[in-house]
Amino acid sequence: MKNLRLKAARAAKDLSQDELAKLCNVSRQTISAIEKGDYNPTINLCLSICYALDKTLDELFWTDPV
Amino acid sequence: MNGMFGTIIVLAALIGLIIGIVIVKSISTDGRFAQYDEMQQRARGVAYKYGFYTMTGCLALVIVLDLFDIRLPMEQNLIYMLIFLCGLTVQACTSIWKDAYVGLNTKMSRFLPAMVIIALFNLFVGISAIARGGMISEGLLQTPFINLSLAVIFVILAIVGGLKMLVNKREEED
Repeated sequence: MKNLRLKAARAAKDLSQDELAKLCNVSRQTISAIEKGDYNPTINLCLSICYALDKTLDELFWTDPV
Repeated sequence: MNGMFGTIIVLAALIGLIIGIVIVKSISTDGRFAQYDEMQQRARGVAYKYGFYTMTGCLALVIVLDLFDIRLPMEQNLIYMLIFLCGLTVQACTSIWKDAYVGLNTKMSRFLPAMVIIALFNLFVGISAIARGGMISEGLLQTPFINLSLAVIFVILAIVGGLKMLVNKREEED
């Protein structure tokens, strides 16, 4: 499932995938894979992304149970 | 004679290993071995799995051929080296395709020339062996064939890398 909230939050901060990747110390492809829903990050990486984008885990990663 | 040849091969492998370590360290931005993020580490795990399956499959094939008394037209040690290289090639191609071949701290401006130099060096050694007539002896491919194989592998890796770059470029929305 695509993570459009992450993409929107990144765009709101005017960051490219590469810039966010550098802030989180991962590769650009990893950020791309998370946004596309191809990779489920660990909680540590989720937190790094949240810190970089000034968002909470809920705001970026929480999904309601189906 | 065989012991002497074995010593030369082991020495060559050791020198190659040392040169390899120097190259690997020199192409990184911080002098360390390549560092990978969590997605890359996971992808590399999958790549190693495929590499292992490939090696196992090739080895099984050689054993089956041997059972039927079918001999490959190459030296015994070359067969094992090629099996090893097949596994490594699959591992490398899978890593490239999953964006997990180049580390976070790899300096691309040094990485690509290093790959080209290594490929050309192996091609040169392979062609020299052909020119000397040392590639085939008594109808069997000899150890220098490994250098030609390495050159071919680098070409394969370059093609896979190029294709992956094209795919990434298409997907890139930034």
